[in-house]
Amino acid sequence: MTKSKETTTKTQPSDRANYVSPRVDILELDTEFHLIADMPGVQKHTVELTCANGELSISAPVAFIHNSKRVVLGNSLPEGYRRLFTVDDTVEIEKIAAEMNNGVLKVTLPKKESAQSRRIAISVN
Amino acid sequence: MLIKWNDPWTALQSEMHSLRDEMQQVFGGLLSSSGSRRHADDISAVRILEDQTGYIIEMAMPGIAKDAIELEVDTDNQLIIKAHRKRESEDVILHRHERAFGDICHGFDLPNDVDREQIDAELRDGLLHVSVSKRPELQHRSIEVN
Repeated sequence: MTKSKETTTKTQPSDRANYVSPRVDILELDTEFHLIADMPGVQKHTVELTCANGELSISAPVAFIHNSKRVVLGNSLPEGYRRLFTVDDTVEIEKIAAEMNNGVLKVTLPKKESAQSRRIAISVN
Repeated sequence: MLIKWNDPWTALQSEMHSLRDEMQQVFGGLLSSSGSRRHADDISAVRILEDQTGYIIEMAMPGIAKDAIELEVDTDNQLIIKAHRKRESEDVILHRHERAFGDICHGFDLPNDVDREQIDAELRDGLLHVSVSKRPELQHRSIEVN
């Protein structure tokens, strides 16, 4: 279903040059997939999430609130996150939903009914 | 006597940044597009900032509840930050598994100019901001020329 697309061939705005790939888990449940991405420092309203031409794109800046101070140690926090995923035709694109909570983005991608495994009850006489 | 002192670490960082900028100019889009190939650091990436009044420690704590984070200053004047991130749903098919779970523990030696009673922490959007104030009598002071 969703596969991380590691190659980025599209031109990106230069201010996103220091964006990094967020770490993600992709889980499959009976009726949907969950894509969970760690994006600490990202505010909910700044997340850009688009799905077009079989690609799901996530992009968001980190909201630093102490920029007036001098960095003295460590600079491992990125300026933002971005990543592309390939979404195949088992996903109901129109029903993709997302929520952001405490720096973690959770995208729910429902499966099309035809792609869902059916559980058949067996009656015993 | 006033001595101007350059922090060697800052000087090195600035050298590295200018080298990176030069390389980006040479390779153009090739390097800039590689940004998304670089992975975010594991949980608990850290950045420390300083100004005249104190220090800020920013630490990534995505998905960690406020109650699961502990801060303490020990007798050796070390600030210890501990947290635990629980693994969610165990019984599912995992197509990709990059996020880390478990215990986080970081220790920071506090400098002598720090007021250990003036340490505050705030968790915002999965980023922990710990503010450590410097003792007022040791803060840098600008003196106006009359």
